[in-house]
Amino acid sequence: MADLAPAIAVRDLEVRFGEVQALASVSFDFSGASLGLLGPNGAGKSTLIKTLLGLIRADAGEARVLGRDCRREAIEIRRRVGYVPERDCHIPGMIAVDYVTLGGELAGMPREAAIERAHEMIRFCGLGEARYRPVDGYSAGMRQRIKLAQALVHDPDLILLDEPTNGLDPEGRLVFLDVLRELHRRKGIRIVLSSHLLRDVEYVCDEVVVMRAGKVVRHEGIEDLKAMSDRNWLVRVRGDEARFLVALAEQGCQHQRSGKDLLAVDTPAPGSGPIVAAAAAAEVQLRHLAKREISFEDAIMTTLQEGEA
Amino acid sequence: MAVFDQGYQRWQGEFRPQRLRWLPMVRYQVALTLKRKLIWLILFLAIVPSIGFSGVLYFATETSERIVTPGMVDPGFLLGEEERSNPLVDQTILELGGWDRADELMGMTRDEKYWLASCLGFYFFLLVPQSFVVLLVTSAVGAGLIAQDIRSNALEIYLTKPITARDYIIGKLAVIVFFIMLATFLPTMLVFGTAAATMDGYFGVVWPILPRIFASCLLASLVSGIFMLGLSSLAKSSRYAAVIWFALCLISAITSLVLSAVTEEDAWLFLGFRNNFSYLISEIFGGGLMTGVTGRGAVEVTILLPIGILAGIVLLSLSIMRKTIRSVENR
Repeated sequence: MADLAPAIAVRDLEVRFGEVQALASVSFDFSGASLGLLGPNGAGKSTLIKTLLGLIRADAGEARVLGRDCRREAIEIRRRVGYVPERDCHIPGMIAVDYVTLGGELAGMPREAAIERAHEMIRFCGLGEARYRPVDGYSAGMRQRIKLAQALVHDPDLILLDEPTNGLDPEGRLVFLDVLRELHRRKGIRIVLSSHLLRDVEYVCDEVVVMRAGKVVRHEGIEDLKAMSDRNWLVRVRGDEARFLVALAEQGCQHQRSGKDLLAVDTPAPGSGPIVAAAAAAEVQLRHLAKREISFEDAIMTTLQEGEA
Repeated sequence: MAVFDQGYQRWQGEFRPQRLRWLPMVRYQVALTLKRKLIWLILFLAIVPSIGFSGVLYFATETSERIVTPGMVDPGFLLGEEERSNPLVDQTILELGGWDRADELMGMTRDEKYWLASCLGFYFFLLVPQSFVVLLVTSAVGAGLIAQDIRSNALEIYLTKPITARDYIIGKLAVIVFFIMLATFLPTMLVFGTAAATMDGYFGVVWPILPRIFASCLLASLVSGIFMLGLSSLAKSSRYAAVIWFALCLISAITSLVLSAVTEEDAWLFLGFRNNFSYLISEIFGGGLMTGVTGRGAVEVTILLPIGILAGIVLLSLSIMRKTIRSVENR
């Protein structure tokens, strides 16, 4: 993880829409280069992003983006942040180059610079040939890319992307994600990627905040999250297996059958100690003991289930 | 051979301080609007009456004897040749101000007649042909301004840039104001320019009417614009907003006329959206120019009534817009 000043610092953030608690005491710091916001629909990801942009006023707590307060300095934040909204957004009848130029001018760029930069960004996003076509006539994938171009035109220090790969075909999605990777790895633009697609986050981000029901249930580096496999083992024993399963339960382990004669065992803490102790107590022979490789999806699902519990 | 990096390049320039953050929005929206043929047609319609009036004015001045046709009174002969400026001036006063002014006319100097005829003439010009144009321009330009942004989610793009909801509303309003001013102030200036160019000493006497014309056009464009934006923010379709706009203007006009005629109370006239403008513009031009229905004389009510009604419409429209924008932000 890169050693950078916090791009986002959130403390006890609360947002309420009437009876609905959209964000409940959310706290985290994002000092790295790329952050994934993960969670099911309604987890509060979009609300969090809009609060960071100063569009939604928090009922309590504090949020700072690039060192600026989201309530009092929203305009300055938006000047230094690019935003790719989740939904299809365009200005009816406007051609792509005007659409992106307008974004630059609204951000405060001089007109000539905005025009020049709009052409560069449209080309960078792979839409150079379609720059004089109205955005209304773009395909879903092209619209996603033009939204990225308008978010980049004023050269932001941070980009917030809300479900940016929705509607993209597999190839287009990969190209889009590669662009995001290049931006934060080679150009130093920090990225917050909100998505429910675990693979997108895994591909682009270095760290992840997992949200559920308006709360942050986990904030870790992607690699740390994957290291959850230290608690996941594959075991085969010779002897009284029933006795062994009872001993495992006494050790606080959970298990399920994996294949014909293998057991997938989750230990309460990293390490295989409880499994060895259970085997000793049940007087069975451990014939196979190995870490179980778990996918990023498995890790997130486990996290979400824990959050639910 | 030089190799250029086609990838992402950081921008080294500096942001400008933004006093009028909404200005780029207006420029692009005006350019987009001007791409529509309907707008050009309406702008053409807007200029036609002023060309007609200017032509009449020019020929009346050039051939002052011939313009007075049989059946039309030429008050000029009552005043004597030395006082006779332009029969059209006298005729304007009598036609628009009432034939009972013939006696009053006899005691007036040329300059006084210039002023009175101009007040009546420009009041009539703004209230009859140009107010119809305002109706059309407001609907054609304004109906889709917010409605289309809501439908295409463009609001989200605007509001996540360094502009506030207030900047957004001002920007949209400026677009309508620009087109209404184009369709009202500019044609009026054409008529004024023709009068100043063809009549001796006209400009020196009547120039103070210019800020009054400007204020009248601005009042009409601001209130109509805000009202239209309020309606536009209620609908996702510009057609619905336009239909509601025409229906409200028409129904309120008919209702106000009927109620005023039945009760013989002028106050009912102010139920009609347009009549509030008529009264206020009349006040801007000196007062007493708005007449009641069925031949009743000048409408006399407290000025607070139309001001209050228009202020209410403006506040209601602004609050609807604010609520709509808030709901989009929270989505």
